Amino acid sequence: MLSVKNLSASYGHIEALKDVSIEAEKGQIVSIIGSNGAGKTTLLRCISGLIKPTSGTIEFLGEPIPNKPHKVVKKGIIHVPEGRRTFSGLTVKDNLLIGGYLFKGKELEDSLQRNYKLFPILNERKSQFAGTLSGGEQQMLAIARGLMSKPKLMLLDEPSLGLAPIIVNQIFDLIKRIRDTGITILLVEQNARKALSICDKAYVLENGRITLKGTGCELLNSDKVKKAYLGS
Amino acid sequence: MSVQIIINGLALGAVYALIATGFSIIFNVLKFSNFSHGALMTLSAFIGYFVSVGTGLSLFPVILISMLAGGLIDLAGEFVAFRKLTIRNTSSIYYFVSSITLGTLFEGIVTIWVGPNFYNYPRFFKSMVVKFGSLIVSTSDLIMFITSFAILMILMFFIQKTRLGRALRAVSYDRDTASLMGINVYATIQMAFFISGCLAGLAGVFLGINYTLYPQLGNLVVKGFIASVIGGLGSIFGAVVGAILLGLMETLLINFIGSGYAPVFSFLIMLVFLLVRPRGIAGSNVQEKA
Repeated sequence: MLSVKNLSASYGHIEALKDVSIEAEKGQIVSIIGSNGAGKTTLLRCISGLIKPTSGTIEFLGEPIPNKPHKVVKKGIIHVPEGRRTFSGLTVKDNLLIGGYLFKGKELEDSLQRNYKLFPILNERKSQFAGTLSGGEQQMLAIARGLMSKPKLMLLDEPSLGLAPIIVNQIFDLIKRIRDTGITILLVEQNARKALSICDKAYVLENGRITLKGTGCELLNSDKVKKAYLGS
Repeated sequence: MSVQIIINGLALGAVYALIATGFSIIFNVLKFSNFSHGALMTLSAFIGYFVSVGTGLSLFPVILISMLAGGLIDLAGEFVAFRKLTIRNTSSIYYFVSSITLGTLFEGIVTIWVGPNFYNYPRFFKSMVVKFGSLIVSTSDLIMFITSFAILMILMFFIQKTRLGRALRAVSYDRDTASLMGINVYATIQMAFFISGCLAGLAGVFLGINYTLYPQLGNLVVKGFIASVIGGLGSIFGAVVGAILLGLMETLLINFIGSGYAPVFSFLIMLVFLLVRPRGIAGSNVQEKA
């Protein structure tokens, strides 16, 4: 479904990604783990069109992806950015409606109601400013806002960042539920144990290169991953 | 007498509100004060003037033409002066310089075109005043107030309730994230400039009717700027409230202390606001939560 081949990207003279190739099939959760500055976010920003790669190809459903972020969204790829990035001064409802920007009228309203059902807390708080929600609620809002565009592929950047463990569990349950509705998920995480335990396939990104790949189980049991990312 | 002063002030305030709103929309989207706004008002007001002299059209078609001219010229201005800066994501000082340059260009065009003379719009109304019982209101004040108010209402509805209005607010908050939601950021910025230009055209015609038309008419943009500082830079609602207050205050001051000293107080009040409440009346309190 998503196929990234030999992708390189750089900021000025600093190479952030070197020859990265990853694949994701429909209905999978694919995790990418790695430490700070490994290039995880850069990879997602390349896929969603915010950064132009210096070389390599990104294909989605057999076609190369368009070069502008708003056109990428139309193809069915949604990027839920790191740090949630909700529109803090707008209401929860407006945040969701902006997420459904591609739709109008009844289709938009249906999408909104479906997400209210999926996230009752957001329905309760729909007229509150997004900036007044708790961290966990904001993360849910960011994910719900992403779902409003009815994506085929969701790119999730560090959804567990800065959240309490119990909320982190809720978020990961939510990710599984989204996968079960048929949406493919590309998950970027520092919380390696969690990310590996829910995924179908995983890659380890180090200094801009893919150094390991395998199923979640394989990587959880790999000595190298254990030592570097699981702390045991 | 005093009711008439208030109506006078409301009409003036409504025109200031048009200026302040046009100013605020661009400030919101690109985070800089667009100093070409004043000269654009003059330019589009003169286009309206020559159309009305040439064709004898009545007020509302002239307003429409001026608004359209303002919108289209602002679109061109955005492309020439600001597009590159937006693509490169430069700091707002470059926008600032670029907008002053663009304003000088507009003002230069007008001066070359019409010379340094003063012009008067043709008389658009059959009678200069409208009587409500014992109350006498000037027709131009009444039309200025009603038209500005209606346009501002439509604009508020557009920004708050429509899909494109939401896109405009999203781009104002966070350009990158807006683009990740499928919003075409550059098209939205163009829309903002078009709306702002239309407001400049409307305000220009009204200022021209209220005073006279001359190449430096656009300097009155300062009033719009003061209004947005009082109201809270970036808040459109605040800009409207600030503008109405400013208009009322000026009219009252002109009546009580004369037109010589009135502008001094406008600036004094702005300075007081900057000292005491720099956020302005409507300054937003929402804070980012980590």
